[in-house]
Amino acid sequence: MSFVNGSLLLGMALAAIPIVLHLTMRQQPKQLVFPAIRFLKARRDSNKRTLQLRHWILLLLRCLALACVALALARPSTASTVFGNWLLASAAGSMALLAIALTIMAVVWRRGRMLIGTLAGLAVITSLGTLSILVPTLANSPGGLVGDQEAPVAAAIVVDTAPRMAYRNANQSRLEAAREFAHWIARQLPEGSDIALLDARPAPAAFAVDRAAAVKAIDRLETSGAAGPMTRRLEDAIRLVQSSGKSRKEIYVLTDLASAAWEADARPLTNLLGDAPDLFLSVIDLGNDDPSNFGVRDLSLSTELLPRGGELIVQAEIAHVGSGGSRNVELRVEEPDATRPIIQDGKMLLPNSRVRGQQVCEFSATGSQRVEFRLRGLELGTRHAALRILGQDGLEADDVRFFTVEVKPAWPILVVAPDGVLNSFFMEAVAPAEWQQLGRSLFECRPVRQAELGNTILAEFAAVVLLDPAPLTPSEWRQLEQYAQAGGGLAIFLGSRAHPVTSFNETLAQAVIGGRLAREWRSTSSDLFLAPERFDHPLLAAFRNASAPWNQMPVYRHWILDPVADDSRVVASYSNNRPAIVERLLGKGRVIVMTTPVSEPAEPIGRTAWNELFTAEDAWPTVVLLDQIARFIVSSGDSKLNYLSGETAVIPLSPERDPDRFQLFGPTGETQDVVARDRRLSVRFTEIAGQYRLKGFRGEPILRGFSVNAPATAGDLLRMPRATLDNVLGAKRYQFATSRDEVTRGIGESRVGREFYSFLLIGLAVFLAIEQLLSNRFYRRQEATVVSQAGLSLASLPEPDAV
Amino acid sequence: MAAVEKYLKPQVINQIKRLDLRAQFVVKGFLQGLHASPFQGFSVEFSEHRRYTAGDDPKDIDWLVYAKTDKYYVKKFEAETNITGYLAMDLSQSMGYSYRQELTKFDYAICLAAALAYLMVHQQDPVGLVTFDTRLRDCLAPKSKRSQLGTLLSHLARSRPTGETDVAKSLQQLQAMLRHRSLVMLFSDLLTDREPVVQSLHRLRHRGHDVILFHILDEAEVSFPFSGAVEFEDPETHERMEVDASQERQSYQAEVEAFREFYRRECFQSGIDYVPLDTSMQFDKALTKYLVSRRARG
Repeated sequence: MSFVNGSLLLGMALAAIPIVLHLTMRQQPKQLVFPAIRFLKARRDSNKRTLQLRHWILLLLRCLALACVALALARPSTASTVFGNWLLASAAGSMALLAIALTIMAVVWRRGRMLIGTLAGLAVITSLGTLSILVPTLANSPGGLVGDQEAPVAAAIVVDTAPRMAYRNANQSRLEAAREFAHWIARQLPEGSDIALLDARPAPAAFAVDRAAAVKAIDRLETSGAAGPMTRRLEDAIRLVQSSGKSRKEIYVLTDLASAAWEADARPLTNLLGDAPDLFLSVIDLGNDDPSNFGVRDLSLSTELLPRGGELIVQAEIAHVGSGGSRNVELRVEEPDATRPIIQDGKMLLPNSRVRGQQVCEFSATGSQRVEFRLRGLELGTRHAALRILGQDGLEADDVRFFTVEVKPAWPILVVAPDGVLNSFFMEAVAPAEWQQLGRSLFECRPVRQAELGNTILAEFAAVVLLDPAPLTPSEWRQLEQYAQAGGGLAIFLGSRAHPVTSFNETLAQAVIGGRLAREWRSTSSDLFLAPERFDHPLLAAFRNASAPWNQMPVYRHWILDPVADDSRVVASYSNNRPAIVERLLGKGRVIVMTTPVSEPAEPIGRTAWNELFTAEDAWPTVVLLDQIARFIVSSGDSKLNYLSGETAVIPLSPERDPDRFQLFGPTGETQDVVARDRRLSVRFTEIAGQYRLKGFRGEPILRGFSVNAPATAGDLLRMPRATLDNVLGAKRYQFATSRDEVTRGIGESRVGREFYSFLLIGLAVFLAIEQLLSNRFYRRQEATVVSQAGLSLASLPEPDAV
Repeated sequence: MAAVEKYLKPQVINQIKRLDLRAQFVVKGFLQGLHASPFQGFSVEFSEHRRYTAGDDPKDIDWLVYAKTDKYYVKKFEAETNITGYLAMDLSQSMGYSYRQELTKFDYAICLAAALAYLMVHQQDPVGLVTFDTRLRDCLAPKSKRSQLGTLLSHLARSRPTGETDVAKSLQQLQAMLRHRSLVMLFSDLLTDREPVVQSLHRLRHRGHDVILFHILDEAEVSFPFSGAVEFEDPETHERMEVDASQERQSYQAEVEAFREFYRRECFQSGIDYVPLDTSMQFDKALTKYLVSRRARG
């Protein structure tokens, strides 16, 4: 409880005036001789008591009226959270007063004991009730929090800057509306307040230096593809204002309430809000309920890295919110142009692009459609493309989605096998002859005998594969290790020729193999097979959504790696839980060891086959697995070319081909120099969606690049129901506002609390009315009796003229 | 005669005269109709004979009857005078009170007494006067001479209502003094303990006297027109009392009404005429009303 004009509380002393008047300034009685005094004596005592009681009741009412006036002028208020309690306490207190007054009256008028007892009991109960409400209310009352509207506050303005805030309605984008609103809020904040502006980007929150800085920050607000969930930003804001020394804390959230921006499970936020009961939280809704928009969602590529002549499948979901309509979807791919991008007259000139596909999407209502484009014949190099919805709608940001693919010549892989070991299975799996002829194969395999390994320059190859190797010489192990250390990929498929096993357990060999070869596991039945359980490794990514018939491809023998080296990781196991595929990171390279060979013919001479991985009826999973292993060890998995806003883009560079320094052309035309480190380029500033082009020079222009898109949900205008917001924030924990007036009212209630002014005025009116009523009743009645008594005496006798 | 002029103003006399002229029978009814010759005295008109008993005056023996019957008979005659009236006037200090009326209760009583005396004297009825406060003070023997009215009024005019009062004791003294059945007209505000007064009145009535009780209160004593805080003082006992007059009015009026009702009831039971009056009523009209009502009753 606090007061706007605390000093006016002194006016409460005015309530003493009637008491003083009553006690001291009593009217001097008129002195009169009166013989019939005996008639006065008879009822004097009871009358006197009644009279005094009436006087005291009127006195009490007048005091209460004066107290109400003084209180109303002092404008008491309290935080909204305890306002109800105060009202309840006042009501209970009034009842208690009434009960006490009735008890006293009953005692004075000597009513029955029963009545007095009941009234006294009632008075006690109501008094206790008042106390029981008042005491916790006083204890929990956020003292000093309210009252002074001009006291500085710690305020955070959280603005949703997701791309969908660019949605235009009534010739104003939501972001512009938010900016305007934020300006207004900043102006409303008292002088000396700490103001922080948080947009949706996940950046550390801090208070602005002063109001002017905050205003500038508001002016600079832009949509960002890197927008995080509003719940997280709200958590940041709460932590920030809670860290402030200012006693009053306010958070304003400017959002369009899109469900994509609010996490359904926001327990940390709810907990934080629970820990900050004094915090004023206002959620200002800038969205509208019936938006109309077309947008590209969930663009997916069959691959980001494709061989020359390979086919690229582009799939996308075109979503529509609104009442229906039709739109053209167009896929444009940039033509190769070694001279561009280039800045000319301050403008960035981009390579020409060509329409490579077009589809029409028709919607009758809110919904989505999938479109698919197949691209062939892409030129070598980094290719930028964009899928665009033609035509205008409210939100332009999600009308286009960019992507970048890299078209490469095939990777050379050295396939090493001892004599008598079939390498054709592997080579057919990773580089089918048919594809090689068509130029679509990603890999180009070069088979060598194991005996020739020592004489081969491994650096020429992107990867080396050892199929069922016989014991290697220490120098060969060293050669392999150095190759891997330098960044080469190595795959070893252990098999029947790994005898004597001790040679594989020597130090040099163990430096490469990710574990000690203990012994062979033999199984006569066909109940042993590869049984990958977790598909989080890139090797197994292709199996995530497909159910592979591993149990149709029995494994009869495999090497037991025991123990597995500390720096190695088991990627997949057999059904007996023994490691099947082990990955080891060696320097900059990778080593994959598979404990059963992939070169087993159906019926090997003089021994039983180790497995039926290739010879089983349906052996496609093995083919896919080998392809994945090949891609993995040539590091192609690393090369990611399409990022979400805010992610750090990492572009691996080839030491032979790429320069160390590149010029980065951002989507908005700004340029920046980036320098390679550890043979890779890192670009952190990827908030703006679009194509980022890297231009370097090493004898000739080298063009690389990547694409950045906002998350697929960023353009989702689907609104969150209020009930969900209530769940997230707590139903009565925040103020929901759509207009400035509502915010003003909320601020008023938060800073000044809810005022008792109107209630006190009502109280004043009630007390005055009761006082008037009672005084009329007490005095007028007697005046009336005087008048009626005057003509009484004569009237009792008949008129003389009647005779 | 100044006193007479004061209390019997020409307009009052006219009023009374009008009464007198208009209704001889009213007066007759008032005095004769009610008191139908209860007394026998020494008069020419024979009434009856009765046997002589010890104690009778021997000179009243009718010797002619003795001669005829050889028995002693006493001759009785109807008294010549109808009734003897006594005006009993309360001289207590409270009678001298008036709040805002021209006449004090005492003056009002005198006016009434004068009118009544005038009526009686005019009919050759003897009328006397007793004044009392705590005991009988003055006593004028009843006479029916015309000069009696002047004597009576001048005596009253000299009297001053002072001191306390004891109506009961005074009535007892009066009763002891009355030898014949008389008409006692009591003028008082009766502001004293009511039980003894009622007992005395009963006793007086029991002795065969006719009693008319003129209960005179001041207009203020009836209507209690005061308001606000007032400190009242009893003129006789000097007792003081501070009250909120507005507050007390209702209960006061109830008390006064109860007081009058008490006398009305007691008087009715013992056949006493009770005439409640206050000084705001015009006494002649009030008297006329009373006489008319009494005639109607009788």
